[in-house]
Amino acid sequence: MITLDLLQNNKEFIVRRVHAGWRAKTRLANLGIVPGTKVKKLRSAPLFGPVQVKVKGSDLVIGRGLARKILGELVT
Amino acid sequence: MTYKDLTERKTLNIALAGNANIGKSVIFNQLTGMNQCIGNWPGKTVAKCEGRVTFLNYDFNIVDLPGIYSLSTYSIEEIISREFLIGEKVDLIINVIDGTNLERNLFFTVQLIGLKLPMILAVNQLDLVRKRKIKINLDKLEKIFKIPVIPVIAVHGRGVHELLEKTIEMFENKFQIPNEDFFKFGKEVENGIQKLIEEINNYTDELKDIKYPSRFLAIKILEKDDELIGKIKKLKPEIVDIAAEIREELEELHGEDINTIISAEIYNRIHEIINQSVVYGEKQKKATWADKLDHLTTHSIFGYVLLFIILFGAYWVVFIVGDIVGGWLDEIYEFFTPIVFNIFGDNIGTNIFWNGAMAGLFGGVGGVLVYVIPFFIVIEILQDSGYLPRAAFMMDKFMHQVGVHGKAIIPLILGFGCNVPGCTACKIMETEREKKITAFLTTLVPCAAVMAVIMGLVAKHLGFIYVLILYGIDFAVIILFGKLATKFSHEPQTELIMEMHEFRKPNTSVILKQTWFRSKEFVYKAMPLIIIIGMLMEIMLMFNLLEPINVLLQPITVLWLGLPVITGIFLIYGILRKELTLVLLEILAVDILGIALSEFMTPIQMFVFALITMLYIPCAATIIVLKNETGWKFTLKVTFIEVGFALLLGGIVNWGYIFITGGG
Ligand SMILES: Nc1nc2c(ncn2[C@@H]2O[C@H](COP(=O)(O)OP(=O)(O)O)[C@@H](O)[C@H]2O)c(=O)[nH]1
Ligand SMILES: [Mg+2]
Repeated sequence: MITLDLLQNNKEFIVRRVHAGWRAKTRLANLGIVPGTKVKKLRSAPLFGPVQVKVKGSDLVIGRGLARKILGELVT
Repeated sequence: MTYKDLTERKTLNIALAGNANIGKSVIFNQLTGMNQCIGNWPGKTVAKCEGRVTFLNYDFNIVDLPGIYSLSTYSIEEIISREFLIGEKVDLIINVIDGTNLERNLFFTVQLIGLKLPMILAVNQLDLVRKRKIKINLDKLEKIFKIPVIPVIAVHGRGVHELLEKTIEMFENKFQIPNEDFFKFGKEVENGIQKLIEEINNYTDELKDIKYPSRFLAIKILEKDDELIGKIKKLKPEIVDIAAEIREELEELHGEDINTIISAEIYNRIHEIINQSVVYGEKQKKATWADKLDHLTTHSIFGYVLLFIILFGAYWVVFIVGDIVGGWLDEIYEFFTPIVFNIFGDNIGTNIFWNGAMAGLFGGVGGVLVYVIPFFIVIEILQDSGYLPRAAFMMDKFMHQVGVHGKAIIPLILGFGCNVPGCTACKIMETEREKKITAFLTTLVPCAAVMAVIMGLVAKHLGFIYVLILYGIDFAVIILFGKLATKFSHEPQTELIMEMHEFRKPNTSVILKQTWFRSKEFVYKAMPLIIIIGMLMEIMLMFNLLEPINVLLQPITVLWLGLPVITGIFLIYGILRKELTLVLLEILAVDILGIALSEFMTPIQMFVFALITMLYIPCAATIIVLKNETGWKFTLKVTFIEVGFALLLGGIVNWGYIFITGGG
């Protein structure tokens, strides 16, 4: 398992756990980031900025600190 | 829920609801003919946009709600929206969804259906759907959700009036309520919800003020919805306790928290629905211009270069255009001055009219509007093209340094045009804490009016380098206050979560209309004020009424700041509108005393005066919106801090200069 911020660009992973606080976790869940969802990392902003991912057909930007709390398994 | 008697009424109240940036406002404008609510950044439609239209003998009241993703309490917009929907005033919801992005959009649809209000599904952006070779079976969607589905291409006006026709048809058939048969949760969750619904239904009397349908309420309580739980706790605390038990059981069983379980089950069902009703064509491999631009604007080097170029380019264009057009206006004024005095003679009336009112008008137009209009145009282009979320993406890291996340860059950039829309835009920040800090920092951003003062006073008389110094000071102050605010706030910082949309060709008519709308508002509010104040100044000067006020302010203006005594009154007028400080200065020196500004004030006085004008207080209009967004207490605090800090800094600069130059 790796965290979302460490996922390489253009690689996909399946979300397994989200370790964030209640608020952020609910938000992510509402946007479809729940265990079992496939997420594709598109890019991250320079200097350890936020990451941009494709999930459920649209692009989301997620702050780096939060991305670090999203764990998943690489799709090979 | 009780049924309103609809047989007699001919007015229908409609709410447009859906995710952000999918075309709600375009539909709203098509229907109502108003153009106030188009934009491209997340959660753009923040103010309540309401419009009326008469169609086929019915009056429609249409409200364009903010773009949201759920009916929870994550953001202020979500709370506002659900309270509005469940209030008495909505007969029907038009749920606008983006046909190219059904999965995310339908999640919200499922939530809306839970409100048990009559509803229409408007599947928008079908032009793009076709282009991307996606096939949506609308009949199938209609059968599954059991609500009318209307195909729409909002930008071409297609399907827009069919929405109203459908509404009328539904109304004449006594409005069907959608039911939730298409979706049940898994057995355990469903049992828990049923148990809670029974509980809720046992206390209909106690809970009669809570308008939500019991199933919706049950799910929300289970989800730990802080707002609704707070309300229920006061009315019937037992329900909350039972919910907690059920929740615990479910969380144990699934090994996940309840929100994850519920969201996952809804998304699973949506996935099934999409499999039954949508066929995706092959993906195009070719990168479009939008992809390329997207790549460039988020590039680790070019992205920042571009951000820099865009912001400073905007300033440069605004300055050049403003300067040229402003110059023309000055010439026109000077050309007519002798003519007017020749015709009407040099008397009190002419003085009040020409040196007061008209000087104010020309000063107001020349000094301000010529900068403001080009700036609005630039801002609108940035907004409509979809650039602003990219700026948020690139600046997130930096914005964290001042205690907020990347989205705060959007109000700040808007604040350069005018602090008023800047402060209003702070609604896109999700929590009170973020909103307050962002609003505070936005009021420190030098707006177009401040820019006009700085350009007209400092750039013209001292040189451009001093302009840069002033802006440098301003940015340092913003960072300083951002850091301080972060230190003093106890709540934790929120992380950025935002949807990013593709670039779009900005729509010329949208941009021009928006600019016209904003400028018009500026003119209507500012012009009368400027003219009246110009006249008042002239009259007060004639009767020596400024003396007492200036004497009172003398210790601050003259002793501490080293300014000419008369400037005290200008700074007071400047609270109404900041550009007045310069306008009045020019009226006094050039028109009344007949000397050049550079003879009236020394360079250091000009610098200090501009510095104070830049920082000392948000203008009256900004104070009002700041109060609307954050309340009086916070607004007063901000105002006092800024006045105090500006005076402190101004004095330090003045005395520092005296100290260094030995009193020269
Ligand atoms: N291609 C296409 N673009 C659309 C359509 N409807 C809206 N848009 C664009 O989508 C963007 C967002 O529209 P807006 O009404 O501001 O979205 P809102 O946030 O839902 O109010 C604008 O740039 C519109 O031009 C459509 O049917 N087709
Ligand atoms: Mg909108």
